[in-house]
Amino acid sequence: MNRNQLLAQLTALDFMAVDLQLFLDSHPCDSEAISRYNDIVSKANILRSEYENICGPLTSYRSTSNCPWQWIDDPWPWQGSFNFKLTRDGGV
Amino acid sequence: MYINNPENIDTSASPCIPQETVLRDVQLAASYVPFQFFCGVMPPLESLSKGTAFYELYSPYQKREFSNLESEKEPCQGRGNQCDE
Repeated sequence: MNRNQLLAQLTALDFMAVDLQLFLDSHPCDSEAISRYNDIVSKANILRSEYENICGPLTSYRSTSNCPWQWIDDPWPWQGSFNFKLTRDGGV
Repeated sequence: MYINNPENIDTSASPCIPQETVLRDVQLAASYVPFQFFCGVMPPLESLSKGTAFYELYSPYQKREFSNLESEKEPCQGRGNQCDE
């Protein structure tokens, strides 16, 4: 996967984790949904590490850094050039 | 008075699409949300693109022409005889 595909997959998994969290808030005993949620969070964490190893830190305070300090390398996540373009059918 | 009576809930709709649950004889000025059931989720990129991970919650806004909306209006629907002028 290239940088944009990696970031899109990670963003999508984090989005699913939030959506499943909302479901689980009102369905706390749904073991199938909890299992799916755990699976998604695990996959997201693996992808996050992979992304940061290749492309640099995603956060200024939770990511490890090589020397020199990598966070000052732009673009930052809130800049347009950082993001990927998602098509209607979910392509990147 | 009504919602607690199981006879008032039509459970014939698909368990994956609780929006189609039909409630009968419910009280006015109260909201009712059918209880969602877990029926799987979409693939990650499709979820992100559609704004929900749940197939049964995907309900994009369908734009219609204003003139069509006007012609579909049924005046005084549900008001019974009070409609007569």
